[in-house]
Amino acid sequence: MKRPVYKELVAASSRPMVLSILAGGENYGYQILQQVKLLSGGKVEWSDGMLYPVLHRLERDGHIAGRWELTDAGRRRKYYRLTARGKRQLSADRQSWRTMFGALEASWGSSHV
Amino acid sequence: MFDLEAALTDWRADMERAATLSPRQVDELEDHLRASIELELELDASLTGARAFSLAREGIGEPRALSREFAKAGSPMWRRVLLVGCGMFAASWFLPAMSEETGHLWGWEAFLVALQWGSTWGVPVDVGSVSAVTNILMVFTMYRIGRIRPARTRWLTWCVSGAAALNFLYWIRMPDLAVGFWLWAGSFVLAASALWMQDREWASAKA
Repeated sequence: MKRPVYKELVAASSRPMVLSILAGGENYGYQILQQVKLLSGGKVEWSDGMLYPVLHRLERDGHIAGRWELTDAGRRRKYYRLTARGKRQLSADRQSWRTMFGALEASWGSSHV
Repeated sequence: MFDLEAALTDWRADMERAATLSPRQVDELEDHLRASIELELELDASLTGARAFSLAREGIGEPRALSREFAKAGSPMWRRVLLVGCGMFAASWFLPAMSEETGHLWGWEAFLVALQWGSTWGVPVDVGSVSAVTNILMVFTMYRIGRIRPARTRWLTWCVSGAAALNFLYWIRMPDLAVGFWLWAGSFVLAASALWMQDREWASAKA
């Protein structure tokens, strides 16, 4: 049975997750959600309504920059890219998450549970 | 027969009525909705357009829930700039607008004096009075902070921008201005900037 990831953990990891995906290149909301599903093997599912406020907060904080572009189908779509500030934030986030992950791994390795 | 464009128009109208999202935010959600519908139809060819729309609509969430999520992400930049501008405007009335050499005047006293100056600047227009009256524009602009969904009023943006330029004319005429004046004049610049930002954000990307 697929066990869902705690929503608090999903929320806490939203910034590094979006920044990591955008580090791979410019992308738009819907594709970012698909990437999250793909990267987590479907275990992490963001609600559609959760992603856009995160994107807007990251844009406001200068971590990502958005621009509107016309798609082949003639629709306006907002694409996001990582900024220099976002790259620095991603680097810091990566370090924090690795430290946390390492500490948890070590504690599980030494425990008898 | 299901009409996707009509259904999307209705969804958009619901979203704009019930949610506090800007047209640009709704544009982005609409693009998401369309992409979801396309995927639903791709994954299940037997699905009707109406069902695919319904599934995609459920996925994106209810307008009020979306508004709450966006609110958690923080207030828009224009609102924060306007808030600072309004704070400066309010403070300027209780701070000295002119230095001791010119004759000490508090902000509110300077307002009353400006109203009485008349056309003493050698120009046909009563700059002092016009400038004093620009305070009404500022009060009108301040009213927006509390509004959840402010209307887009381009005329106000132009008027406040003009007022910001006009109020700096004092600087040319009177070099001995004090902190109260600078806060007051600066508040118009911030208010004008906030209104331009809001206009930009509230214009649909489709326009």
